[in-house]
Amino acid sequence: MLSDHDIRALADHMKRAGIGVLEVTQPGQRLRLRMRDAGAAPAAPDKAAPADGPVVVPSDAVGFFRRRHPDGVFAAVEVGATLEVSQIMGFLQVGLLLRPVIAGRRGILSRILAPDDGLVGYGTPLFELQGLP
Amino acid sequence: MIEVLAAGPVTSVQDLGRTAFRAMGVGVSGAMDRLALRGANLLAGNGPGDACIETAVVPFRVRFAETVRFAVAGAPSPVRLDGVALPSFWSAVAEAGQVLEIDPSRVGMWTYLAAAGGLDVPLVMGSRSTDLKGRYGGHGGRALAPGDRLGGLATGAVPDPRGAFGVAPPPGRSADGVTLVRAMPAREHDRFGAEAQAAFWASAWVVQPESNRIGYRLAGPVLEPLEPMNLLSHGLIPGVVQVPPVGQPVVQLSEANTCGGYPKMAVVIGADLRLIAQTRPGRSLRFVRTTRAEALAAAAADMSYLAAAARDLGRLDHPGDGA
Repeated sequence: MLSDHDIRALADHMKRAGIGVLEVTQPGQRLRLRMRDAGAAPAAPDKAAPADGPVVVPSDAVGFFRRRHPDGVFAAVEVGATLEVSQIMGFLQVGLLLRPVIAGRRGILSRILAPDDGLVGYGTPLFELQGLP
Repeated sequence: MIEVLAAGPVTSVQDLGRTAFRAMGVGVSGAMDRLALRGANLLAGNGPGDACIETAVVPFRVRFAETVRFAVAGAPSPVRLDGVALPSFWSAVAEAGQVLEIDPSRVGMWTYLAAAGGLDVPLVMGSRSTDLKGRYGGHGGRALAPGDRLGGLATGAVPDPRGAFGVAPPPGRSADGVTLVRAMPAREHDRFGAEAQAAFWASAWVVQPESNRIGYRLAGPVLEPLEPMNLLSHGLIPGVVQVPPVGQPVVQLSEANTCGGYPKMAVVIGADLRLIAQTRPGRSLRFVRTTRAEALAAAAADMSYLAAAARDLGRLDHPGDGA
């Protein structure tokens, strides 16, 4: 069982790491912590944004943000690159598991918003791109 | 169902090999990089020894006739699904009609494609692996060719909401671009002089172009025994390093001859056969002397990697749990 002290420590850790939502599941217990002011709701790519406006690509999971795949070969995206809808822009790593960060729409990468290899949470902005039709 | 659009002379169906008939002179065959084959199967949700496609050297193209989860693993190579680039040790769902392209790796050799359920080719002596030398097993006992159609063993595919995912590849072992492979002295090791022994263990051996699934030829200093040896033919296994009279070593690999008569300098540990296999012609490798205990530990480490990968993949089914 998690104590009040544990929960406070988790919350402090979430604040330091910029994590919006944290879920902990143990036998007989399921805890969901959400930071009130951290923009914590899992944000979806803003498909309603105008075609030529900036669009933020957020993280959809907790993990370490990897701009490069550990195989050392898969090409990382750089600012100025044109991205296709299904393009893999980076990875979220937990243990050995890697999940893709997918552009979600066509665009030109304008900014990289999260530090490489940093811990990110649900909704952490990772990339900004200028939408293309 | 997978339709082959392009394949090369060493693109073939492989699994973990044909181990039960060696005493009758039947070679083991199977994947050159067995850890990658196991990884591809794990990522596709298969059993560890399900049949996959092994490809190298020549661009490989397939069209998926139906929607299926697939995985690629092994040497990192340019992989594209309908033009979208994918990394290695990666799993995704191909929609019916999509084309997967696997270009030859520039850093390694062998790449594996697994399809959920495994490939449906006949079991020959307990294995679905192709023996290219003996022309049996796999798909008609031969390399794959354009127009070939391979069925899957999966039945009643279920919707899979997990999307695309992968695992970090297993670590390699190299120093200054030279692959390090662990080996133990073999029976005739001490019938080479101290100088030849030292040269064998210290040299960076260059993998030669005339290498294949049977074995890799190496070039370096000439190794001469103290006196000529005429041995009776004896059993061989993958990993044996022979020294023919020309003095240049040959490492027996997946399609190793089952017997031979050349002096044996060393035997590469099972866990490191993949490292040799993934060393491209023109690149170098060095033998590092090891022990039986270390060999067993290395094999256990490979299994631990797979177990950790399987555990971490389990998070996909329970996304809220302790991520």
